[in-house]
Amino acid sequence: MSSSTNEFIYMWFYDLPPWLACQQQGWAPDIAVAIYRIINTRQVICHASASAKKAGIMIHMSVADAQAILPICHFREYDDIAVKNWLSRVGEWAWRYTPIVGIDSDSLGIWLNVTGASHLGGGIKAVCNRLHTEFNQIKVSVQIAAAPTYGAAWAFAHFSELLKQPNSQQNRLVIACDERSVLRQKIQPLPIAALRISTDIEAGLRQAGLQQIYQLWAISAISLTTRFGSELVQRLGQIIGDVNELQNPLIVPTPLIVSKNYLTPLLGVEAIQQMIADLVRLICIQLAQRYLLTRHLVIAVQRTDSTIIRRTISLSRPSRSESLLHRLTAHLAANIDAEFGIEHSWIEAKKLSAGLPVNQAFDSDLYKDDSKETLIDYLTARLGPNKVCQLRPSDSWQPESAQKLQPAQQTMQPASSSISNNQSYWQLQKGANILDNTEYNTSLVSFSARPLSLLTPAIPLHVIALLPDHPPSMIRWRKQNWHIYQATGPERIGPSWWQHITQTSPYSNKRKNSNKTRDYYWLETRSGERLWVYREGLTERGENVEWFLHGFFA
Amino acid sequence: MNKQHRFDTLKNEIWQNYFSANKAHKTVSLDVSDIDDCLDGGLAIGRVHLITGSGYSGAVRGFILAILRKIMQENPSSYVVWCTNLNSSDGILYGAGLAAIGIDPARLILVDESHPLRGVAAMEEALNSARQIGESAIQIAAVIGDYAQLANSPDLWHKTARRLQLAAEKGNVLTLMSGITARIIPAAGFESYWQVSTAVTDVSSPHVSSPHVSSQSATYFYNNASWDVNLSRTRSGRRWSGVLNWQFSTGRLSKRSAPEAQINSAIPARQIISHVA
Repeated sequence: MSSSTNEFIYMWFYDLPPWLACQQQGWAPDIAVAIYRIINTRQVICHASASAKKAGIMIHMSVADAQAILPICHFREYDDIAVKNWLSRVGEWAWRYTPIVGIDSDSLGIWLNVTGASHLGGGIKAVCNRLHTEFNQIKVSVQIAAAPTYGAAWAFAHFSELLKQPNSQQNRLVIACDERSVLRQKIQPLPIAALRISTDIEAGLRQAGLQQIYQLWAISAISLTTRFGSELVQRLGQIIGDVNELQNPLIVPTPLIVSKNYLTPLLGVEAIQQMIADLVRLICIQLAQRYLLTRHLVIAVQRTDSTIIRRTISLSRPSRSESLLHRLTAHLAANIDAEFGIEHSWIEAKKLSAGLPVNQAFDSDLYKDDSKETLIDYLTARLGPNKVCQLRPSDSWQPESAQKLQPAQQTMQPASSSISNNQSYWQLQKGANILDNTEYNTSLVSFSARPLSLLTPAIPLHVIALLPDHPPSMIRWRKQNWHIYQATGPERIGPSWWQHITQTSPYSNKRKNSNKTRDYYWLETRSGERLWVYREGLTERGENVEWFLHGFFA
Repeated sequence: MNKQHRFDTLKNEIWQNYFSANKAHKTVSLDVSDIDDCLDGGLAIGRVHLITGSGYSGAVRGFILAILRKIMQENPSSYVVWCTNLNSSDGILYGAGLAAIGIDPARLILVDESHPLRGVAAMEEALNSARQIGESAIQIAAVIGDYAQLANSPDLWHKTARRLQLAAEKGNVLTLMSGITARIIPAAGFESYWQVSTAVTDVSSPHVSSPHVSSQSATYFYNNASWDVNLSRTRSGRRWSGVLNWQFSTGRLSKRSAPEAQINSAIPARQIISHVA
């Protein structure tokens, strides 16, 4: 490759979600795994492992169909955060080849701009081969391509002719474009989807009989723009390098450090408190001078015996507010045992982000009420990260899976789409039942009557019922007999039949997680207790019936 | 001035000081005039109130949630810190149920602490965080702790009550200490002491052998709750005991009057209407 051209490497991890699921669950790599997304309440397969595909499971198939084809297949929801985290980690690892590395989480890829750096690795082909070997060792399926433009590298990685050939190896061959002059020739046979155009444009092109890239070059740019918009022409220019394409690389995290040495060792809580306050003040000045915000602070001290003690403070959102940081670090002095004294201390600000000064008048949202974040940060700093929690709704009809308990600082993370949907779910429940006081919908009440307290796991009950499919007339609970005065129900809740029995979540019924249908009843005892019980198993199917107490009402 | 006259003067001074100090405190009305009168206007903000009950946690939690809903409605941008043992046999708060009675679970911050002493310390931290320091004022509507079992140790219990009271006053936050216990526990350091239990359903027939099964009674069941409430300690020395009804749709508490109870008892026995296949 000539030195005048750019050099891009694109790595496409086409089997990453199933591979990650196997890694997280400890499954064998050759097991059948299918990853699905929830699209308009439908669970649609978006990724499948090689063995699942071999069994007939296809992309865009519903989970129900896939379950019918391969009952032993493991199904998992697409974990966007896990994929992004993995790509970010690998991207940071790839800094050894070039400082300009970026992730493409939508396409499950990582790109490297090795312009001017490839010779350090022995040339572009040698770098590609080394990457190939590295990923082969950890058994990650990857398709690597190198090209003078980002678009071409992406296209070769995704739509190489070699990709279609059956290959028993884990990793595919490397395709490198030596010269930009031959790039156009190599791009010609690729399908139009290699241009990274939207599905609407792709469908329009296919409708017009345009299947491959070389067919577009015969048409003038004006005609293409008139018919399909400017995006298509822009992508055509980008893939051959006529139009520049800006990418967002990963930013090298360079933590900001402020340190102080002491001629005489520091002793006493007051002195340590003052030391921490000084460090915080200095780091805030540094952050302000660089227009940076931090989400993670590490305060470390070195004692006279060279022992290093570290204390960390996490924030739910980036900040450089001196008063906030003073408040969060105020208790640290009592937790540091100075013994014979402290002779060196430093503070590191990590997880930095840009924090340019803005005018409040331009965007009032930037200055929204942040008292909740401050409260959570304060409590987390004082009590520990796993002690402060919040309830988060989960998209499940199983009562024990319909909410999750998450550390509160995690719930304060930049909202992903699923989280924002969850928030609207809470609000929907509230709005449907309460806000419209004048028209209180009785059907909604009976439908969504859920207890105020949920027992996890549910408590087994001894029950007397007149008929097997009737609500109980008496239950035995806490060594007492409770006579039932009124009962309402049942509300039938089916099992998540596509999940295996062995699968348990931290807040699900750990003791017993069967695939039986449940009939829920609302009971009122003669002494006034209001209970939520369920009968597991259907008598008409000949199943063993068991009763459980699952919650309390007010 | 004889002793009796001086004593009366002193008593008057104390009462005047008490009322003038108490009037400065904001209160939350509980909608029932008798109770509000006992509490001199309602539940005092910046004070610690003790709420206990026997049997199961439904009644106590329900009563606390009824208070929370009121205070959260009055302070729409504030949050509630609930310190509890999330692995206790009383169960975990259920978000869908809370949302259905008008409490936004997103405004609820749970602190998981099983040890009562550490739990009380967490409550104190939460109350301290409400203090306005510098530019950031944290809005906390209430701090709740399920650690009334500390009363088993009287010395610790009194210290706890005093420390919480001081923190609640400084933070000006309503503080509720709750617990499930059948016995009466010392409430010397608390502003008020409530004992809450489920109100006994007025069963018309003493020999009901099978439950009434009805699909329409879900509205009757779960649009309201009734509790036997015994307000045994208040600053004014007055007490109140009776049955409180809570309407989920409006969030209003009301006193179950005697005529109404008679009406309830006059309801004919319901027919068994089962929609079970």
